[in-house]
Amino acid sequence: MSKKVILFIVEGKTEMIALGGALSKMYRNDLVRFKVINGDITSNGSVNVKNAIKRVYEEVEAFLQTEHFHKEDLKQIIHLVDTDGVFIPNDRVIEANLDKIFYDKNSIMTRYKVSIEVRNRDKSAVLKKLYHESEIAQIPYKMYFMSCNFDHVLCHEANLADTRKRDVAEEFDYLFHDNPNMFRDFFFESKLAVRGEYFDTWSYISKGVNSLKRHSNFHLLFSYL
Amino acid sequence: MSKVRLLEIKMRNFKNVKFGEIEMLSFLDQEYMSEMADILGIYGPNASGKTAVIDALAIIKGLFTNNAVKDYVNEFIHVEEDFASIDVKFALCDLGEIIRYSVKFAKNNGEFIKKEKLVLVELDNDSETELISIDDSSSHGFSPVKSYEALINSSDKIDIEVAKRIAAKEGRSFIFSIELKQLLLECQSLSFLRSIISTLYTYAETKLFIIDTHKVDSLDLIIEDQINNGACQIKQAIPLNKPFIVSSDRLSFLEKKLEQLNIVLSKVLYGLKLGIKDFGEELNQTGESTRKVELLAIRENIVLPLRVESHGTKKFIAIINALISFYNYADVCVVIDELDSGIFEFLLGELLEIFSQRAKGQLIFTSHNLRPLEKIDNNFIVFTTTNENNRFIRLSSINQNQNLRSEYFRGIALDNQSEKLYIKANSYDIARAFRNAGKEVDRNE
Repeated sequence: MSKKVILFIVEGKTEMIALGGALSKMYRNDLVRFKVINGDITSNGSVNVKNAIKRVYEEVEAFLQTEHFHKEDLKQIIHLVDTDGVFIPNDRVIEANLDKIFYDKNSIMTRYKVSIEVRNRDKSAVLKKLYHESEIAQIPYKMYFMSCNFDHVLCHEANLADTRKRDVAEEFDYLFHDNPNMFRDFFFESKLAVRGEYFDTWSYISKGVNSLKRHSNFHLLFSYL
Repeated sequence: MSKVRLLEIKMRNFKNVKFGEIEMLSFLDQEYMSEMADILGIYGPNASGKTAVIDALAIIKGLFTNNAVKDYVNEFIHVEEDFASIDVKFALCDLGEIIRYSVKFAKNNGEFIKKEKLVLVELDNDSETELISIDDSSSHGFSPVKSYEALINSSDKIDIEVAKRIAAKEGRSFIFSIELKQLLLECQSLSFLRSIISTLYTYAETKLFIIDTHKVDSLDLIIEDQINNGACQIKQAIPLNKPFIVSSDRLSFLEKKLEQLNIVLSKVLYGLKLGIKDFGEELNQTGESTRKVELLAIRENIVLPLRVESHGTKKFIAIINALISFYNYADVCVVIDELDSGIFEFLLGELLEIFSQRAKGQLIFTSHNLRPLEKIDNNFIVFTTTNENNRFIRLSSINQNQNLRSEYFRGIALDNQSEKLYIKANSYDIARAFRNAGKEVDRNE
């Protein structure tokens, strides 16, 4: 029987390295494919609530074109995003003399408080817009969060050095590549997985400083798909 | 001589093809006697059966031209099987007939060709009339008995048996043997059979070009021999890599032929022309005047021996003569394995587009380069499948506006065709394998 494509839109190649093997084993009857955006579409300065859906679809179209698929070959678009603490109150964005933004347990430390506050405001609005969409161009769509970012979920380290990101992803793949059940269990683990239905998980992560904590709703994918 | 067009080829247990069937587009379109370009591009991954088609046609050519094919066919029989067969249909345009030739080979058998036959095909009512059929297990000469008896009346029965034995022993076709040809000359009532055999013989000898691009060391030229008032066509292989001897009275023909090739070569390969370096006269053993010559590659003022040119250039020169014939004559069939090797992708696409629109003959090729899929009629292309019992298919539900190259990739990824096109490895597994292999290297160091 003809296969369908499950398209994962991700921010970087580390997500693909870490998740590709296990997901392709879980969804053997479909084709698991990644579109790596190389950056966060939801916090790109040019993306706003008005054009967010269009921008996501442009990524999908670029994928279809290079991979020679038709729109109707897509079964589902899965969008993975880092929360980056964007839902925290502004008083939790603390000015500090640091070269790089630092994600702490209950606050974001940065030299550029105002620009982070603006980013938080804009990105949280875009996320809210997108997670309410059930389809994009008639293709089923769901957005899952990694909080406060993908590395945090994978290895409990929210401020991982760029040079370590790939190793962590490789190590993760090494463990789970041929163990889809263990992979499932990892995301169902009670401290990581936010309880409730899809919208419940998003409203939970939007509260207080939850978007800085190590959480994800990715486990819901396994029930929905 | 009647014009001949290939219509269909079928194979059983041949190399890795347990069963495979390919119809030329003209046959599908029921344009049997067409004078339009009829192209067949065979695509698929490595070792998927593309070259089997080329090899099968080379064997047919060998049999029709009364050559022994035993040595190399033996290894072509599928490893699990004892027999292989090849079946080809041709249109004999001027006679308005469709002919089927089928041959069955046995592995490791004294009598190598088990069966061969030539039949007349009636496409309208799907019936066949046997013209001649030889089965090595049957005791009498051949069937139909009526024809056999007619031949016995005009020849000695012993001569027929001897001819059969010799052909069988040498691994040649009896139908196309010089011995049967001689016997048929004496038999008026079998003149129709004789004309068909001789038409196919001439077709195979002078119109069916099988080009092995791995060996691009010569350019096969058909030189019309003046001595016989142009009636006799002589095939001469002109070496591309070394000097050679040519009889003095043929040198001017060779020069004329090269001029003809240069018309195309200079257009396609940026001003390249072929020339001849003449080392002078030599007398051969029988005292005939010959000349020692070598081919030259000429670009503007730079003259170099052709042998120093790249493989790609030489390959193009080796096939250009055949391609010119295919372009101009409806009854020429050129068969090329790996047409794309050494040819710039853009040029390949341009040439095939021109051929598909304007050539008259038949062209069969294999290729890995997928550019032609974007340039020629989708129905000109067949793909190998992973099913050895149905080795070749055309892609289904593709319309002419769709990009066949894209649809092929899509078909491989999604398995959306009637047969699987490729056994695709999981790309995440490939990445992991590379990484694990690296770890293994680290450990060993």
